[in-house]
Amino acid sequence: MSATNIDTIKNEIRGYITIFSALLILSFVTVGIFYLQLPLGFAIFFALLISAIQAFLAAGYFMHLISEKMLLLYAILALTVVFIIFAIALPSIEHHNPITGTIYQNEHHQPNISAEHHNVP
Amino acid sequence: MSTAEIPFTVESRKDTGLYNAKLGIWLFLASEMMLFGALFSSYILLRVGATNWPRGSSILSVPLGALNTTLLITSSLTIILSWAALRMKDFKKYKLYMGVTIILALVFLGIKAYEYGMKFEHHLYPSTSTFMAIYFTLTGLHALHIIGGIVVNAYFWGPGSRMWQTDPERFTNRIEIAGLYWHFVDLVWLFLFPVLYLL
Repeated sequence: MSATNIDTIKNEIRGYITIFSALLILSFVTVGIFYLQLPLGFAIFFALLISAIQAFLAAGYFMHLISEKMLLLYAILALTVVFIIFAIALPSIEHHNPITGTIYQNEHHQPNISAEHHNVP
Repeated sequence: MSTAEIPFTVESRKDTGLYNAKLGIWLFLASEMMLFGALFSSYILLRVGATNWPRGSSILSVPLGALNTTLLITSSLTIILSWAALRMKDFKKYKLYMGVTIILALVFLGIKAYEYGMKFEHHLYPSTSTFMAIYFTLTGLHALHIIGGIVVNAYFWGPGSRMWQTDPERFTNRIEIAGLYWHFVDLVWLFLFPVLYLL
């Protein structure tokens, strides 16, 4: 193995240690923010923001997504991300109920469950 | 009769630009992302629909969760260092770093088992509440992935490492693949920890 190659790998190792330190610091920041006892909305925002940054660092550098130049790989991952966004958006879609008339409104349409309809003795 | 060799175990295919195992692991990881994505979606659905949802920290131990996060992040570093060691033809360092990765993973599982034990001692089971149900589902599935990773890594540390003598480049690629899986398991935990323990 040439000296240039070894130097390249040693440089990469220094990069990995930097990413490791960043991931560790961000984890401690997440815990630190938790102990500040922020309102739930802020806590969710900051926790998910930090997790997203950590995911970017881990996937980009440890999993080499930043240096991979393969269109096929990006296509697979893009499809996956679309699925995940859709899956995570589903609760919100359900909450806003864009298809009218499909929601069961408990307080307005109480089904008639009296004894006479159910032949309860 | 000549023996048929599996193609593209070392060199990349021209059409995909990747060697076969790398494309395979990314397809597998894509399916895993969908699995965990769907479970996170279930978590949101359950939480939004609940009239009362506890803060994770009132039930779970934040210091233990943080310790487990540190262990997994460190194991991500050691597994990538084991791969780098192989690229530098340093088999002894590979064994060291891969061994440390396995030990860190075992400690992670030990802490998780202790946490589960504490919950059971306090009569907190998956059937106790919706929060406990999703907690055990998500962390249990993640722990199964950790166990799977330990089995694979232990194989490459032990009997599987004989390939280094016969086909070092292919073995190096195998460790890269094992590393990609391990980083993914770490990545999932980076979301699980704040979502379950802190929020």
